[in-house]
Amino acid sequence: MSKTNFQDMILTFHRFWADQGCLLAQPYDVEKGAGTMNPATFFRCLGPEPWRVAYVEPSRRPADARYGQNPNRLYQHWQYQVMLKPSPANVLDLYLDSLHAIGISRKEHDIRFVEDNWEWPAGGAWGLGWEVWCDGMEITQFTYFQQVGGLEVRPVAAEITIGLERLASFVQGVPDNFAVEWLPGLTYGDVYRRVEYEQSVYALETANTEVLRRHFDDYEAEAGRSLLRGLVAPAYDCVLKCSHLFNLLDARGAVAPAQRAAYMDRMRILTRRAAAAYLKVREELGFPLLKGVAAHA
Amino acid sequence: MPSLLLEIGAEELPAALAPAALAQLLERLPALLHGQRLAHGDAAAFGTPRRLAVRVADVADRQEDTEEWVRGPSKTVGFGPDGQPSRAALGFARSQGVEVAQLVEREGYLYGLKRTPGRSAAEVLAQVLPGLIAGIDFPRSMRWGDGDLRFARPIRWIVALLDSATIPFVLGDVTSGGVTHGHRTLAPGPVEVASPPAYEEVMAQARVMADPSTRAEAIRSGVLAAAQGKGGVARIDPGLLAEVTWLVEYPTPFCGAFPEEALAVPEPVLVEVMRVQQRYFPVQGAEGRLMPLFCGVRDGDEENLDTVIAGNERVLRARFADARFFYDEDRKRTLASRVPELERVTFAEGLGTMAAKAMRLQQLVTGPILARAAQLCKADRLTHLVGEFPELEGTMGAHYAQLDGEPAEVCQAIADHVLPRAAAGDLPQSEAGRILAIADRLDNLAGHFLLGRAPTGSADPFGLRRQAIAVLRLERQGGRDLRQALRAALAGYVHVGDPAVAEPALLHFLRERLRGLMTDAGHRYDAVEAVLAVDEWRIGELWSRVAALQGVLADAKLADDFLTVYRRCANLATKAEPGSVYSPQAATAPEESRLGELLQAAPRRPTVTDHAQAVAMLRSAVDELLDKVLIMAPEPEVRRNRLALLRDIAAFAATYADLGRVVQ
Repeated sequence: MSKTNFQDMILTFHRFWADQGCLLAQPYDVEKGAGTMNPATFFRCLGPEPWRVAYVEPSRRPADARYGQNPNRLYQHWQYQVMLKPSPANVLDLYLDSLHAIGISRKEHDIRFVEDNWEWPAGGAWGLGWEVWCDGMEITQFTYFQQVGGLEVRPVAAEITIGLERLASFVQGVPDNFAVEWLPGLTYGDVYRRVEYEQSVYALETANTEVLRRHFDDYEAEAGRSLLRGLVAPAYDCVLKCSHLFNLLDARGAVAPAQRAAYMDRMRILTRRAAAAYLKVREELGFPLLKGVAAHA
Repeated sequence: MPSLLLEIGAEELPAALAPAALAQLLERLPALLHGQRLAHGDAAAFGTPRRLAVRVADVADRQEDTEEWVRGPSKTVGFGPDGQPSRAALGFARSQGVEVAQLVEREGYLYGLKRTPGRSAAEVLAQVLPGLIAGIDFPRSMRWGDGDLRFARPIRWIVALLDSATIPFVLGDVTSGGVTHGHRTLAPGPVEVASPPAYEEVMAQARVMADPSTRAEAIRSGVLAAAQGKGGVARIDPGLLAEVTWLVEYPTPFCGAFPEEALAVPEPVLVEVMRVQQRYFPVQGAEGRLMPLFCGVRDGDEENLDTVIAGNERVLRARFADARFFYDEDRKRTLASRVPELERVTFAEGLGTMAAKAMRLQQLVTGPILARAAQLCKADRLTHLVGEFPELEGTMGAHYAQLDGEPAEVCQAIADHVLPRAAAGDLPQSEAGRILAIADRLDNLAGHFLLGRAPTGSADPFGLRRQAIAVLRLERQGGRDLRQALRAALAGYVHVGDPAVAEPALLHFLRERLRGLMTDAGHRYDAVEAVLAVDEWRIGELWSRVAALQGVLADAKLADDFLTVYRRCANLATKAEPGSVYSPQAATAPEESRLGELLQAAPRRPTVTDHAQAVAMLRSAVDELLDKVLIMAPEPEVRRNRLALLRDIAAFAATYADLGRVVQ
């Protein structure tokens, strides 16, 4: 097996999914815990309009920060995210073909779909699907969205989320994320180890919890104010900010059990309102992307 | 006669749900045929993660014809005075497909014998099979694509064959046919099923082991052989075997290795990593200790098996490295130092924190060992390893406590307090662990019942039934009054609900579970009812009573005397005046005095069997009194005294069980 480097792997995925009619979106520039929260997935899975998208998304998980010392846990990792709506009948075959494209052949490996259901309570979202195993390693989260932002996802969207560091370490046969070859002569560790250390110190030790709390309140208020004006995109940016601030507070151990539910409720309310507002806007626009549906079919 | 094959092809079904779905199909398809008046033979089920199939032999070509008498208009409406049929009668006859002359009069009405010819099996099945598939119940189901159909995972094909003919129907976005699909890797692509009897052959060709029990056995024996090949013995956990069976279509078991130094982490952790995270079977040596080996099961054949094994070994190494990291981190602090942080852990919604719970547990137990165990037993929830593997709660707490130098009895109690883990799971080894295990669950039950969260129907989100059963199993070993312990648990909560409401509800709840446990254990229903009707809350005592009462009832002579004494007296005892007292001085008949003396002298035995003997001794005296003496004497004083005596006898007989509930 040739050792596909990190960026070649991304380029291969891009080519593959572009050939499947996916829009190649770019990372969204607000901190978030998962690629699902990118508006290209969170909003676009709502309503009747079709959508196919693929992108790389940084996922920040302050509670997973390990000072760059743990081989498999990172403050920030990169997700390869694909969303296909409506989910096509051959979606699993497409996914397996995409693995083949980066050098993971079904004949050589043991690929398994093991039940794993996805839930994002603060996003009013859940879906059913699998974690995909390759020779015993979880390489993908595959989900059929059933509800997002408290709204039924109809038609259903299929979401493929791949942890790129983990997949690359598997493909390259290295046990440590930091040893992944990014391009010849440069490793993942060369690029990110120091960043991981600094972000870990901040997330686990030095982040000012009073400031974080205040910012949460501020962004929550801004989100609400924007929603009143029908400004969905800026409102959602504020929701993402709230989510990341909460994750930081949590990593700092600054969320008491009694507060947790309240924070969750506040975020759930905002994401629901944002989702409903987005759908209303699309409806007012006459769901413009439905135009192409007949042509595609 | 033709045979029927229905195969539902789906994307990988959850291993936890597929077997139950297949069982529904196996039960409902024959029932459906029966309901459609289609005679049929035996049914067989096949299933893998990607298919649920049932084949039914000897299905009738056509439904049986039916005949039914249908009531039409009254005779006076149907025929004029001239005897000519009216339009009503003509219309009715036509609607039933008979001639007017064939109508029959009964009780003033016209009846027609409506004959419905049976339809062809293919036609009927095309109509009912979609509903059968869509009607399979899953605890969690989903939609996919543009459709509204719900199933555990998307349905991608359906094979529906009656002999070699397709039963045509459409379900959601799938049209039934005669084409299945082979193993994803070994034989991808469509495969035709010529006819139902060919199904196994087609599956074998397509590299699918379609029979779940064959697959399970292949995994079991293959795993054992793989481990044996490396000098070890695989531990086959039945739950894991069942799960793995539903994760593969073509199992190839293998045995891999991990570095010896991983064994420095406690064995339960390694086992849990292998079982929960990787679905591997652990391997032990002759002396029962874990070896640095594991068995996995590939979904595929032997080709490139080395690559697969190497990949699995690498994953397990990383998993063990994680576990090692957590273990080392956890050991940097004592368990006791974590206790204050329980303040940050929610116990249950509306019921405060784990810190408060640990305090309550300390109040519920006595003695320094139990007090310390109660204080520490929840602290391992704050450790990394229990965070990763909730099943290790208690086990890790005990391990860390031991490393901290806590007394052995304290460690054992911490380990034991989570037992039993399952309905029929192992019970604690130590008495302290047993007491703490009960206190923990009574505290859970008390809190939820105080908030009015008794389970309803099949919904039991807090697992209260399971916990009640655990309490009853644990209490069976001891001799104390469960009600007292329960009151103490209720009293542990301040300003949560009303104990006066919660207590009877919880006692009733426990009583119901105990009834179930006793009847499940094979005890006579009436004996269980009789024993549980008496106000007694020592659980071990109640079990002894049921067993003994059953023994008494099995002894015909003893049972007859015992029950006759009770019944003859109990019949009249209801007429006794409340508060009346039998007085020997007031006795006027010698039979009455004699029975009174016998009752006075009757031994009070602590066991049901001895007690029944003592009651049976009264038989002749009771018979004599009731046969020779008029109980309902005209004089009120005499009557009152005699009724009071009979009431006392009945009460004596029913000391340990309400004999009125015994059926004999």
